[in-house]
Amino acid sequence: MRLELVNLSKKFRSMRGEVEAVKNISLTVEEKEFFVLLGPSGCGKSTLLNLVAGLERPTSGEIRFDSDLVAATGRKIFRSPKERNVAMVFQNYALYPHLKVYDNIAFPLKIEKWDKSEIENAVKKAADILGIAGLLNDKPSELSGGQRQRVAIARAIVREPNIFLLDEPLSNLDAQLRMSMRTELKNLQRRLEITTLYVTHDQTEAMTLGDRVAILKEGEIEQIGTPLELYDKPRNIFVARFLGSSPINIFDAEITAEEDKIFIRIAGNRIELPHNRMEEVRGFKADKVIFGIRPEDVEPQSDAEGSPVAGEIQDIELLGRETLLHISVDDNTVRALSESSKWEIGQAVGIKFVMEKAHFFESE
Amino acid sequence: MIAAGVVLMLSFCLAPFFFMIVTSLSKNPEFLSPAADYQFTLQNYSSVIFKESLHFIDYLRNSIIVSGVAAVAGVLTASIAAFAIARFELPGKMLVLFFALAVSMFPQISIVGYLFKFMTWMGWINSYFALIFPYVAWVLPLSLWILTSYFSQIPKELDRAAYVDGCSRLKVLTRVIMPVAMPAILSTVLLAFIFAFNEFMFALILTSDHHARTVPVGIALFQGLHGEIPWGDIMAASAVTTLPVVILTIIFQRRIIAGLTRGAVKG
Repeated sequence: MRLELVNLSKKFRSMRGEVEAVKNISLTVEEKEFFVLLGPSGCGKSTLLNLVAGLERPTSGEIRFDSDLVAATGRKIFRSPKERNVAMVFQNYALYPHLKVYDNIAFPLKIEKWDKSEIENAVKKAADILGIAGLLNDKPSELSGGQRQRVAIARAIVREPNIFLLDEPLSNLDAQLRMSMRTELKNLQRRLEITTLYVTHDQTEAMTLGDRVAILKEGEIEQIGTPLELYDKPRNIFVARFLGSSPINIFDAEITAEEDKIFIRIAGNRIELPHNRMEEVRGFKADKVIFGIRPEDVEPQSDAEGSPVAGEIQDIELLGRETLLHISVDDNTVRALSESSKWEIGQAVGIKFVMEKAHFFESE
Repeated sequence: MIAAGVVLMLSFCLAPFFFMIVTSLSKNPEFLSPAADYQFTLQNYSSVIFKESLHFIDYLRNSIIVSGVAAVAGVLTASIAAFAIARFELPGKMLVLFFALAVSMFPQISIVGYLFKFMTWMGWINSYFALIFPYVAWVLPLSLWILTSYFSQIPKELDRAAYVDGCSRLKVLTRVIMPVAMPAILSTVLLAFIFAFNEFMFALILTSDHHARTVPVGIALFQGLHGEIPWGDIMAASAVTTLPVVILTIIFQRRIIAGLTRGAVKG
């Protein structure tokens, strides 16, 4: 099922006034796609999910499942969650505490008044897929966090929903379990071929799970694209900062043109820009720009003399295969990833920026 | 020190019950009679239970029916209202809560005259209806407050999961909220039952004989034609009357405690 949001807005009224949680969002999730909504808390991503589920009414805009309008404020159409046949998994699992695991999974089917034998088959099948067939007679309170999450997912897939909605389903699990569930979830989605909308604030989850990712900030979409597109070509500083396990380096910089060359001034150092990046920089209105470069595109060099930029190692973080260096350059700190671990605090180092991979943003 | 406090507390609380039991088993139930004269008997109990002219069993039946129906109806009504107040965006829903509280603080005496006229007009005097309706209204504010605060503690994700699973609002209430809140609902029913069971003034004014008269009024009117007070009968009747309440508490206790100690959503 294809999901389409058109100019969707949601305002909440509270004692303190009006809050616009979702601002005029349009996006399309293709059939069988795993689509991730990524953003910090309060960016409206959960509200967006609730709007798709039918738990909230949009203030304006349309929601389409394939060609069916399920919500359209202009034509006063609003379908209930029941009519939309969506399934949802919540961060705190939301299992019914008074029901056994079997009855929890069977709940949506019982509400739809299926036959007893059909329910039994469907529940068994879902439980087998999630590997919880042995837990069917337990109460949710007897289960571990990971098992509860599996039950919640089984309840969601048991009736073959049109769209699968997940609201930070892994954030209550411990790190190791989160990783294995991530893989499992991805495989499950591929196998069941259900269009999936997944909300998270964890950029690793978004990068690993999503076919495409939308980054949200304050109710607006900053950028939509495949994880690699977002990582390699962030449209603005917010997107650049949000992705990447070691945060990107961001500096104020100044552009100076000399004859047919373009130089960029960063923290008192002058670096020449390679030819293939010139066009992009020439398009900027002001000379002041913001220069961003990911730690893996910063190469620390042990001889400080011959390098264009020189600094001193302040701090060293061992990450296993790689080492993250914090190098002070004048008043700034540059983060650099190095495959070598032969560094010492206080050591003078040179820095080479891989300019082909650098990002330039217009300053605000 | 703590043990001494417990003993003091318990003896203070249980002394009237002890006195009640002792008096009810006494052959010569006079106040301040010397302990040496005490003679054990079950006579008072058998007379209370079997003497038809006392109508005690009628009173007890009336009390249980009236209080039971009023408690269940009151709590059902209150749980629907509490669900609305705890869950929906209603303008002025806090006003409803405070209004209910304010109404419950009215002295009973201020409405009993009107109530008598109304019940006479309806032709319900000396019937169960005359008591059930006022009792429902009487236990409603208390039930509403207890249930609203309990429902508010149930995570909203449970409702949302239920809506997504295809429930209507009413089904969310009956299939999720009420079962999850069952311990609170049971204890509220019990509380409402005791409230209604102990009620005196409405029962005194709105009933006239054993067809509808409840136990508290019945016992109070036990005194004989010539003004003598049959303490033995009164105490035996009181002892029997506490039984249903004690039994109900014991039956519900296990479920109430099981519910309170069970993890709700997260572990």
